[in-house]
Amino acid sequence: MNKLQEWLKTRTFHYSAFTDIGALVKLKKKKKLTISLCFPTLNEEKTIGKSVIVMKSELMDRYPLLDEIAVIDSGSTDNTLAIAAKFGADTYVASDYLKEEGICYGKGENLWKALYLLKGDIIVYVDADISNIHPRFVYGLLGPLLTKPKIKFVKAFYNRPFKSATNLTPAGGGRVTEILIRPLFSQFFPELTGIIQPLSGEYAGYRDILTEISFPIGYGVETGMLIDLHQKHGLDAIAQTNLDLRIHRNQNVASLGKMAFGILQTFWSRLAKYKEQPALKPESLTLRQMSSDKNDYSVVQYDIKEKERRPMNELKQYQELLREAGKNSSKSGKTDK
Amino acid sequence: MVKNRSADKNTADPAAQKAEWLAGIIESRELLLGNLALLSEYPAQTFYEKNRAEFILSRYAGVADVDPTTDRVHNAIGIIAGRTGKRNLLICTHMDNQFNLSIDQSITVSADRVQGAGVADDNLGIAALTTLPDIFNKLGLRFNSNIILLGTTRYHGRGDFEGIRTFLKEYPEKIDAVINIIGLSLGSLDYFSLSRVRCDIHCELQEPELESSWGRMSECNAILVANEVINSLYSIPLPKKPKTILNIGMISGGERYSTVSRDAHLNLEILSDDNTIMDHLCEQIIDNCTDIAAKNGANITCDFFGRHKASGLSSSHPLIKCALETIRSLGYKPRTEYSNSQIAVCLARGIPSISIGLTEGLGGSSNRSFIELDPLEQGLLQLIMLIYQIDKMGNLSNE
Repeated sequence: MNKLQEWLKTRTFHYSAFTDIGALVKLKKKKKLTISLCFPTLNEEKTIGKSVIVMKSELMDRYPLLDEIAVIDSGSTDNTLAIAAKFGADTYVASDYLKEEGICYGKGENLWKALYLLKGDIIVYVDADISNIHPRFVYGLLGPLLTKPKIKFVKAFYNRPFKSATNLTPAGGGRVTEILIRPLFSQFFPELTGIIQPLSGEYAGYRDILTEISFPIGYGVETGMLIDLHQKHGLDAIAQTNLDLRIHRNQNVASLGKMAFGILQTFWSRLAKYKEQPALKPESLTLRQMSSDKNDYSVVQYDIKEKERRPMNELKQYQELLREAGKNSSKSGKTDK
Repeated sequence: MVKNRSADKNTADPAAQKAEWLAGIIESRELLLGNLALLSEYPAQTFYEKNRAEFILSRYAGVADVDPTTDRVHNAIGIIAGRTGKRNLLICTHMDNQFNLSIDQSITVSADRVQGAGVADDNLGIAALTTLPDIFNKLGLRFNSNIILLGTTRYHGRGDFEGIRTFLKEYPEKIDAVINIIGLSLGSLDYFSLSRVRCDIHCELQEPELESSWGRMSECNAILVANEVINSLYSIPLPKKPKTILNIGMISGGERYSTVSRDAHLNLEILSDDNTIMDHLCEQIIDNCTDIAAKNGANITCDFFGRHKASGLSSSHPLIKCALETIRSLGYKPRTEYSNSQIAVCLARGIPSISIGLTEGLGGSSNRSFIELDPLEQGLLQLIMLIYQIDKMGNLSNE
């Protein structure tokens, strides 16, 4: 727990610490790094134009922080690719590449192929459905990677504009995170419970660590990536940045159900891979949730032990009750209890 | 930082120069649209423009040749010192709009247009003003005149052009010419203003004993009083010469379906070719309202503000000739109209001033508002050509 609290303190950032983009460009040049930005898309014509324009104008034309902006598409039927290309993004249809590996469709597929198609030493992934897109969604993730040598992977999290009855902000993720991911992490990968929003769609990492892990092609890509990177490189290689507010489409419960189902498949595969005996040990019966006071984040623990009662028909008392009832019913001629 | 790709070279052949400038403008398109996207994220309701001003100033601070500054009303000012600095050319537009925080001004970009509340009126203008130093650098342009870029505050409604007024009053040097840029429409050229006065009329009733409309039966309510005022306003005879119009632009009042309205507001504007008629019309409005108030037991106040005198240039002025020629050279037919913009303040002070549009599209405050991208390149070229030619003009005084 102390290690987790320490990690939260040293590996949790706010994007405002990295607003000097010129300084990040200098660091990038000094380290002789190249950086690619990937937007995975499927029918995002309403938001992709603004996303490409904002990133290109601010982080390529104004400050040469990015060397490449690419859209990798799952087969949009709208104008996503034409709009992205018009404003200067390189565009790829994922299914046109690495055909010999078989054709799959999904966000994870696009992220995986980005490693093949893009050239950067660092890859930044940003979802294309953000309506309040801002350069901070990229430089906020690159800041820790460029300034802290031990950090290899950075995950975004966001302010959620809700207040609890106590007026404290429950710092956490969305419904799937809080109902599925965090309980599973608490039981089987408790160190990962410090990740405030493990399913956020924005993250950046060094190519060499991303190319050594497998990519679920669908909803499980974020979960799989986190677990794999944690297993291979430890918690200290991972950091997270608060990017403030993210406005995007909300999904309905049915869609969240599909997402949860996909994530669960990825989770079980990681469990089989990394946990020889995934039995519930006493130390894994602590649920860890996030809490925050302004920008000070902490993990709150709840011991939740789900005891179980044996089947009722194994109880002597119940069996006696049944016998008594049987006698009474035979006297009265009734056959049912 | 944006790289300066051509170092202050001015091609002798005008056609080649125009083509070179257009290419540079097209290369700057994402910078401008990026600024438009980011500016749209800063709400700037009149009197609350400070955050937007700070964004613009941060942009100016990032360009080597621009000296960013502000003043007591939070105007965003960027000064580019000229080679000789003998003349001051002011390029301006307003930063504020009438959207409160609840209005989403974020934009949607498609292949040929940008859509969103306020994009045409006039977030595009302020985005262009913010990007101009980068475009100058991209084109390698340096000027003899000092170029003063001014994003003004307090333009709309009760702001009554206070931003430009304050700037003109307090800027220590004489302004020699003004180009005001607006989103719509490319080809428009405004260079004269009408005599104008605005008036807010407030009709108020005493607290009724019974609030419900049923209980009060046919007793008067404030909206009916306002209706009488409207009828009286339109009964005022307006002369055809000088041409004079009265327009009720907004009306509001009441609280709920079920209650008797206690107050109602009318917001109107009078425009005329001539300054002399305004005082008479204002007096007549006050007299009418006094009578209606007495008849209905209401309290009616008339608050006149936003007075401007008719002023302007003639089409023989070198600035207008230059602007007309520039618009025609781009294949557009100039459309001249009276200006309702802040150049009225500049013209009233005798400063040669014009207002030009940058592209085609649809204005208004709804999120259906849009600008078209292809004409925008021509609109920006028009602006660059104008600045370049005004900088080279010998005499800017009225002939």
